[in-house]
Amino acid sequence: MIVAIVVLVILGFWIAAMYNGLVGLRNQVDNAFRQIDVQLKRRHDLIPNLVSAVKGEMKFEQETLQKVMEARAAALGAGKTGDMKDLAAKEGALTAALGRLIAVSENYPQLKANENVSKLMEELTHTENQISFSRQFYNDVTTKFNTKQQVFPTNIFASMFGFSQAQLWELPADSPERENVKVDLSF
Amino acid sequence: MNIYEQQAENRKNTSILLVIFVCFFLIIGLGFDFFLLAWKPPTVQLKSVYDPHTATYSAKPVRNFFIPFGTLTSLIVGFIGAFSGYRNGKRLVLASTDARMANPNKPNEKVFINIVAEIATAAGLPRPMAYIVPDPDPNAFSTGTDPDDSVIAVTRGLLDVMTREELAAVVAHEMSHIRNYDVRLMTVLTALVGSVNLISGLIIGSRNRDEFGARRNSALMRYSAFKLSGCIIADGASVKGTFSNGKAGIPPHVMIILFLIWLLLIVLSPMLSSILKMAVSRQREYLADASAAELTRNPKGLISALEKIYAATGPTTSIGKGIAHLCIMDPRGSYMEERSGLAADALATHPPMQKRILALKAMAYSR
Repeated sequence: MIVAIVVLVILGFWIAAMYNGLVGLRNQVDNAFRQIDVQLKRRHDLIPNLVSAVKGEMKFEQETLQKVMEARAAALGAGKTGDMKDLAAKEGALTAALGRLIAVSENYPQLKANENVSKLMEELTHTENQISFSRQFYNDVTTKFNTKQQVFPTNIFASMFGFSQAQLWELPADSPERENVKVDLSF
Repeated sequence: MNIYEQQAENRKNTSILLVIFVCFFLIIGLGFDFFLLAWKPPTVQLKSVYDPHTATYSAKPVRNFFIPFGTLTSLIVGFIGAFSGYRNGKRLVLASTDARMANPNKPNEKVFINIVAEIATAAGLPRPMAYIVPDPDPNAFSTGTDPDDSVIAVTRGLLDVMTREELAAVVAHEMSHIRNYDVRLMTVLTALVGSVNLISGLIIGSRNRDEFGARRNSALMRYSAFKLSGCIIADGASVKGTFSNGKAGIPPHVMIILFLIWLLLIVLSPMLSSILKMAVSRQREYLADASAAELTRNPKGLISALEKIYAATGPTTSIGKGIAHLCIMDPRGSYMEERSGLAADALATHPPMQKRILALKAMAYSR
């Protein structure tokens, strides 16, 4: 009798600890996602400034600039719908367009001399790194949360308490970020 | 060994070392009580008490409890030392290195501030403050006992030679020291070593000479010498003796040997404790390297950063040896690296650079 009570009490404590651990992880996942959001918003605010600063010097690259602005508009639209897969795809396209802009800007030495542009370029590099690191952190926390739910014996209780797997921030198979970089070596 | 196994291994070693430190204080304190204050374990004696009501005598247990002053003093000094180091560490470190806050209006310092923010995002921690040390030798350190209130400082020389990728790796190394609570551990350990030195100094006598040039031996030391000679003169078999003082079962000559061992330990304790501290420091360096590679997902960045720092052989003059264990490389310069052998190994704050680079390369290949 006493043994049974002791076992039940220990089991109760264990379930409580497991539940609290899962709640903590779920909140961490939510918070990590907000961090990505904050950085994406920063990027959206930064792009118009950058484009207008380099427009004058990069007359021959109107197409590249145009693509960046279009990708930004698409990403803003996807952010409003709240569909995570779509958002990841659109933001991935924006990252690719910006990468092209940075690469092309290397051909314009007068841009580097411009203090305002170099400041904006550092801001852009910083924001791109912030996005990729917050994405990395989100995926780390999400993996931890998902693994915790899948391992025995937590898996018996996790779905009972209404926990579900969180989605990793992945690039879709047809994302332009996955494309191989084309290097043109002809002069 | 992958990154996670390495972290687990390092944590285990660190807790063993901390236990050893607590034992250190206990041995010093208990030995002091036992040998010099004639402390006895608590005993219960039966004492006959006269009861006036029944006019009879009855046996009543009386506790003899002797306060272990030495043990208490030793533990309290250790605790106070650790606590004050914990409270004032960051302020002292920053003041001693002339560090100033990074200026966001200077382009290369702005890059440094940005990188600190990026690595903080990667670690999921609040952003530490970015400080610059005006020194041409490349080096970096972190301080602050809590991730919420910490500082990452780099020398101006480091900013000049590193690429963005390498700087990120160095900052990630320092961020790992903060994330793994190395800064807190090392600050407390430094204070503990200081306390051991203090207690040992009190017992052996100050090592400084007074204004007349005479060595001042402490009263405690003279007292113990007196006790020891008293015991040697006395015939061990017949005299209960100053040392045996009622501790049945321990013959006096064994007591003398134990006493000498204890005294030797006190004399050696400052050296032993700093060797221990260095061992902890070296363990934490491997862990920080591994965590830095994990944070940036780029062991190669740290490899080339370490190679650059290693190539700059000069000492970092503005960073004192008291905070060497918080740096990315020993500020005394590469001369510590060139000496090898047991003694140099035991006294180094950092593992040899070649070994660190090799460990990182192993990680880079296994990924």
